[in-house]
Amino acid sequence: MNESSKRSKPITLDTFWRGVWKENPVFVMVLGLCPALAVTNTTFNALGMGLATLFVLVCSSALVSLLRNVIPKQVRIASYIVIIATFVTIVDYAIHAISLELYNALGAFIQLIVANCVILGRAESYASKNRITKSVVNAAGIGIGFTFALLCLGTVREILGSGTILEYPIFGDAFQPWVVMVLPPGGFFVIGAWLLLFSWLKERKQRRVVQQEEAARAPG
Amino acid sequence: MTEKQQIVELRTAPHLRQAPSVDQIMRNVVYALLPVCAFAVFQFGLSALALILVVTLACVGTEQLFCRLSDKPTTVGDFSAVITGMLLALTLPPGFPLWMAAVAGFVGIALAKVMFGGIGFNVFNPALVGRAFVQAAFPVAITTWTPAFAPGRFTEFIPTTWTLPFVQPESVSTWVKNVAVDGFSGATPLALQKFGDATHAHINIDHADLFLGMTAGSSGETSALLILLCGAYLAVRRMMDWRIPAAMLLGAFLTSGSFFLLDNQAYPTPLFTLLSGGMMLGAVFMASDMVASPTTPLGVWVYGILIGFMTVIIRLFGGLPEGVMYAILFGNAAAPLIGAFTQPRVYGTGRNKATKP
Amino acid sequence: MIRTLGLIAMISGLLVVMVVKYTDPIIKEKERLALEQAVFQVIPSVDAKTATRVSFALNKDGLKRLDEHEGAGEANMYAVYDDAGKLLGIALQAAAQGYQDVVRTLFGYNPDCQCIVGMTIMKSTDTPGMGDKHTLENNKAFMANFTALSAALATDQSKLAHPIEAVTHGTKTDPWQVDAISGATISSRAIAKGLNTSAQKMLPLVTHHLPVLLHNSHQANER
Repeated sequence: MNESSKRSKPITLDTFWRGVWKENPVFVMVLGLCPALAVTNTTFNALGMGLATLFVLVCSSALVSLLRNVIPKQVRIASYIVIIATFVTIVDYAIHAISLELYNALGAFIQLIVANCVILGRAESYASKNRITKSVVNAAGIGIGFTFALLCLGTVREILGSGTILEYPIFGDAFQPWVVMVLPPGGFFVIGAWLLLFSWLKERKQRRVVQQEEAARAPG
Repeated sequence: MTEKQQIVELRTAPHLRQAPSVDQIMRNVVYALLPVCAFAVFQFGLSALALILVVTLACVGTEQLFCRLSDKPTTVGDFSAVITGMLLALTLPPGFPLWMAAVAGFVGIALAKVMFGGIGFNVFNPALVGRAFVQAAFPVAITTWTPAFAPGRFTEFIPTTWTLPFVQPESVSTWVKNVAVDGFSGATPLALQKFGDATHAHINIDHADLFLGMTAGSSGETSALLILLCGAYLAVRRMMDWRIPAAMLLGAFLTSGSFFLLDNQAYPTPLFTLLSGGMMLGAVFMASDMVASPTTPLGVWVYGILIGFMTVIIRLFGGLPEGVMYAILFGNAAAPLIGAFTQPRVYGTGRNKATKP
Repeated sequence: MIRTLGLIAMISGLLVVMVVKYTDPIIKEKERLALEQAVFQVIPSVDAKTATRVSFALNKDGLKRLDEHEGAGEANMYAVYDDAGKLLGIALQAAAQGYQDVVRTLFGYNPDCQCIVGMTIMKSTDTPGMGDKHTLENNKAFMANFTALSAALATDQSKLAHPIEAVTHGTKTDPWQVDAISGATISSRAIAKGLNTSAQKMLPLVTHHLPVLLHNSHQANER
């Protein structure tokens, strides 16, 4: 057991928060764009997709972490894919049973969760090297960050594209929907705007850090 | 009569002639566009005037805003944003709500020009990107046409013009019924040809009317004659590469001509194809955009013919009646590739050695 | 190595089988309800509580009554009966290429008036706000086309007397024409074309088997 000898770091808030904010899969790492662009035309679809991904992410991370010492290195990717595919199938059936409407709206993108690089990336780079609790906490952070990003896209697109939030009209009948926002190009426009906002925030923060350092250095 | 003594400047060879600067060219394009704008106002009245002013202001304002945000010297003075605004306004329907037109101007400049690094760096024609955005965002408003030469067009606006921001424009059908003299059906010649019940609808439309611009349509696209004259001015002053419009019209003519020969009942005449919709405006003012078109001598012909071909294919087989906009954007996207494949042989290098370093 | 892979595959298989076992009946029931709702929607004057729906497979070889649980997949026609076993109407599927993708519809046919009495869109990916299900079905003027759309057969009973066709908005003159939505001409045309194709193919067969269909209803009631 190499990690007990290494004394792995304890679980901190950062284990969880890192995935939500600092390493947000969509806005910072720019991963998993296929579902982020394809099914976020309404808040409801975005939430459904986000939660489905969260479930697959947490469960597969747990199982991969449990089996990390059993899985031989040569077949690890194949094993991860089988594990992920299992949970995707479960989610697929569950959504089909819970809401036919959501199932039809998400279409093939539920099955495509299996190809979401965020999930395989977690399994390969985190769950296979860490204890189960830590892996689960980290995966939950990433999953919630992913859901958050999808919701950001979904609400903007639904408000502009249909004038509603969760199908509740907020502007009244006279509102002119921006049809392009619920079409695929709208996904690109909105994600572009969010990426712009996030990189602007990041840059501003960096600038402030630099300023503070200079201010600290100046008197001395 | 002392003024008679003019100083004649004489110089010996070589006569160096300075190439026109960017804002010189741009200013001339604006001059060339003014008659087209004037005709649009004459044809559609106050609404067209407001449309042109608002879109131009939106484009210039957007450019100014982004120049300030990025701490760069302002580039408003080079007139390129003015051209984008005028061109964009000319491709919109005359009764297009002004707030949507402002959105189009903003998106065109912000997305297609500023994001790529300003003038000289745009991959796509900004005016067309703006129009493509509103085409996708407000498909109903952008296909709502109003009749040309409505009585009282200089005293009242088309009711949809002053729609409040974010509000759906009201229906113009009752207004159109009140003003239309000869049973205007709310369709342009192109739409009639595409969606009309009578398969021969295109034959009923007078080619002379199309040529002069007496039909309904986008505010500045209707008069082929005027656009050609303005284009000729630019070409004569060498402010525009005449080969691009020529190649585009040739490509469209050949493509639609072959379809017409194949089945002259189902397909419109090549002349109709050339004169209708945005073909002329697109060919003369948009496809010839200096930045977004190839620069090699052979490349401009390939580029123009490709756009003409695509326009006809989209018009005949696509879901929309008009294809000029998407065809030019397609051509813009292909321009670097065309340029790369049509590099002329460097003088002095052999035909076979040309590729070797 | 193989043993490990086998183990993982077994765990996976077990999990999937358990989920399928549990969800399958729920999914079947939901899909049946959704279909039933659509079928009842296209046939007016249906009392959803007392009416019964029977699935059939109808083609050139003949009419086959399908058991609800076995052959639901091959059903292409649904007959609706009231509690006395009287035939209220027949629902048929239709499809034609729209602007983006195939537009699928379900329409109700009433043999008494030989006309289409209702239509609902099962699937349309056409431009939202113009040709999608919600917009089209909320357009009352457009949906009024399908309350009494003539689908009478020609005298030799092999095809429709007049093909169903979409006409430009405001120019509908005959009961077999569909008044298209201005601005969504392509979607309107796709619906009319789908109805026409399906009606041309299916209605002669339906008419041929009509006595059986009426008769079958009593059997359904007795069971």
